[in-house]
Amino acid sequence: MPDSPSTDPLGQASEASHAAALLLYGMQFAVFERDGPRHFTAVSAAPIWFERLTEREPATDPTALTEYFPALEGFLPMAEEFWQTASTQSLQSDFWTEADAEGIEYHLLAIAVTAGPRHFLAIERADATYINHQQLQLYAHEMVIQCETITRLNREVKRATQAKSEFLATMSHEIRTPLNAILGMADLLAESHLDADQQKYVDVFQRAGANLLGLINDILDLSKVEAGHLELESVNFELAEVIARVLELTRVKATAKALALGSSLAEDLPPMLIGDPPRLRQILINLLGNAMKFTDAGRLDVEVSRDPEDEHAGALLFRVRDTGIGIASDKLDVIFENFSQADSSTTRKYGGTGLGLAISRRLVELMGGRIWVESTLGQGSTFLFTVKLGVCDLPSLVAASHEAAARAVTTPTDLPVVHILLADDSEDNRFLIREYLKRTPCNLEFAENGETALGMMKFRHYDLVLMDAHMPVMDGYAATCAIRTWEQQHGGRPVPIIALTADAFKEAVDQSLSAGCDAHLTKPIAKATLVEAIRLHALACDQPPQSVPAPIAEAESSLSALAPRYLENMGKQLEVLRLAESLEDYGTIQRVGHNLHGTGASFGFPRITEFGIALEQAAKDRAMSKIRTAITEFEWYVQHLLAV
Amino acid sequence: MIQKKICMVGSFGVGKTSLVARYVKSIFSDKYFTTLGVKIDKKSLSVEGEEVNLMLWDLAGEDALTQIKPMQLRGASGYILVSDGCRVSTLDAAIDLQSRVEAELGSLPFTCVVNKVDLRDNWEVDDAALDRLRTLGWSFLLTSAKSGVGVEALFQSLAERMVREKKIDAR
Ligand SMILES: Nc1nc2c(ncn2[C@@H]2O[C@H](COP(=O)(O)OP(=O)(O)OP(=O)(O)O)[C@@H](O)[C@H]2O)c(=O)[nH]1
Ligand SMILES: [Mg+2]
Repeated sequence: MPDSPSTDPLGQASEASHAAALLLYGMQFAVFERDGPRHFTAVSAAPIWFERLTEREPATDPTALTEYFPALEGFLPMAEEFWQTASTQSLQSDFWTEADAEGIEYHLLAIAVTAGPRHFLAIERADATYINHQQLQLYAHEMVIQCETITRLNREVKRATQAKSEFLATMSHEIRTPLNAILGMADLLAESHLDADQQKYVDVFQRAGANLLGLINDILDLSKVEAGHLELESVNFELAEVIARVLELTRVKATAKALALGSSLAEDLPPMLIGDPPRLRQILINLLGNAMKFTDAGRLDVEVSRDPEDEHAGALLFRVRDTGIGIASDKLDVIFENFSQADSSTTRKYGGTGLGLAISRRLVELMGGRIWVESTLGQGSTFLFTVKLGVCDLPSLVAASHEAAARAVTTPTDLPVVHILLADDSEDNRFLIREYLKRTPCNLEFAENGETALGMMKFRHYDLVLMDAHMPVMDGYAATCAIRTWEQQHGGRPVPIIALTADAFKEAVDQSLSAGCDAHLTKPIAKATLVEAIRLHALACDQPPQSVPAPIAEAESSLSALAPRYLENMGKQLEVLRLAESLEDYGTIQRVGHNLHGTGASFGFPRITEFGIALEQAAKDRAMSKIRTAITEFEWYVQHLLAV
Repeated sequence: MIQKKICMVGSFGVGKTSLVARYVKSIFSDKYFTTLGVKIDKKSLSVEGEEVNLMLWDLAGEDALTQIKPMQLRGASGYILVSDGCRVSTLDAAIDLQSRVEAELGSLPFTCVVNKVDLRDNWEVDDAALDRLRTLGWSFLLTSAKSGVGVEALFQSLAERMVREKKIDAR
């Protein structure tokens, strides 16, 4: 609505009637002359619509107009000011709406005009303008509401993702902790003297455990990326080095399948790049691992060149080529989705979680690239991906990294004598770490929670503290903070503290470091990793390595702590015995008997050792009735114990 | 006969027009016709045996570009701050608006309304948000122009407070 009409209907010299005639055009206007404060006189005959509105109710003072139109109360004070000063040609009110006796609505505007010394007020019926404006306003409002809704939905989705990722983090903790114990035990078992059968079982055990750990890591990775938790590193690295490491890791399996393995790097690649080499390696290993799964003969190749579609020197194109079974063209798009292998039957035949490709896609996208696949069924596939990396002008760092790798290989024996405090509420973990360090000169003491650890710290010097993060009473973070505070107050030298958590998120690492820990290990912890960490951090105590006779592990007491679990396992042993009995499989009975013989007393059940001896002997003698009696007694005994 | 002006204020689309239509004409429409400027409706009711003529000024809702015109508030004896339970932003806006209205009119009886209670399952306004109104010491009502819940009580109670306030002033 223009504030000043383009044609001036009330030229300065013009007559009032002339002005009125113009305004009355189309009978949209009712025009009044203001001849005193709040006193208006009609200039001409009023339009029909005006009469329909004024006849609704009689007015005590019709000349004031505000009785008919109370909305004018909001305009007339401004109009008065305008008439007094007349700084502009006209002044227009806001819309207001009236309804007549039948409920028909009229959208009105008031316009104050000055013509020479005279003042006029026009009331315009402006339905068309109103509806136009209303329509525009409605669009605007609806857009704002849409926008709000989208923001809200976004927030909800974010919250749900957050919840999901927290759930996965918790689950990963719950799963990793027992898995830590299981894998650790398997490692220990593998180190002990085993016969061929046992060796085979332990192999299966270790492989299955490692697969499970791989799956958990994959799920964690994916959830981290999806929750936006994954941050890429920006470090200098050499591409050739990354490719070499990847091939090295893949070579063993490739050789086992009699596949040739090759790589080629284009000449014009920048030698030093900036990016996240472990994640780049992960993508390549995923792709090669995938290619390997679906290739039974022929070769695998990795090729790297400049991305032909991107000028930037750090824009690279990777190709992972195989001569495998290939992928049907209608499956090419879906294979990068979560949990989707081209065919669910392939999962059964070739194994894998189907998460590797989904993770690779996310990682590639994080690196500013895309991933796709070209394939001919029966002739092989080529996975291609692009990434945008930074380019670095520094000289090679290979020598340094080789050095670091060489340092990482150590043997337990070169550990110095260190007094270690382990704070961990899990009995299994305490047992495991004690076993790990059995043959080292380390003296290990235990605390079941952070508070106990803190108390022990104050009375004795330790060279190193291994601190589990999640413990009852006082958790590892709080305990570490408390220890650091105490050290400051008493001027003690800070003891190296290594945090142990089952939580692989970067936040967990940050949290332990900011609590004052010196390092962070993620469970399951391999023996070599633990030893290396102790070596590294215990070096701070400046003690020369000494060869001290290893303290004798108190097998009995530590094992008896595992008694309940041992008893649970007895149930399975019983089932095996019952089955072997019905099959008259004396070999198995003898083996189980031997096992019971060897373990019962150690776990605090000499009676089980006795049953074991009896079973072993009876099986050797092929004395079935004696076997039956022994099994029945054994069963009764175990059930009795379990019932307590 | 006493005449009282009440202003309906709040963000756009919260149901100011619908509340007036429900109260004055007992009708409701799902269709949204945004209000430009102002529309005035009248309704008389009785407070303590006295007839009171309410002038309900239904003002255009506020948005990023449209702010309430102080001129249109003048002469009001009370006001109703309307918000929409489905959009928590409108409640924040109402709290902000209240201070501007008070700056213009001084301290007057007002009622805060969280409207569209018939859609409570989809509300974004939660108990914490309502607690905030309690801590402000505001009198507030949950209403629905659609079902009519709380509408009669809204106008009746505000009218009673306005009349009472007036009597206290007169003394
Ligand atoms: N379900 C439901 N819808 C409502 C209620 N009140 C209003 N609406 C709807 O909300 C929309 C907006 O209502 P209006 O009464 O026009 O809102 P307003 O506050 O006058 O909006 P503006 O004039 O733009 O400031 C319309 O589609 C109404 O049908 C209610 O209590 N329940
Ligand atoms: Mg409205």
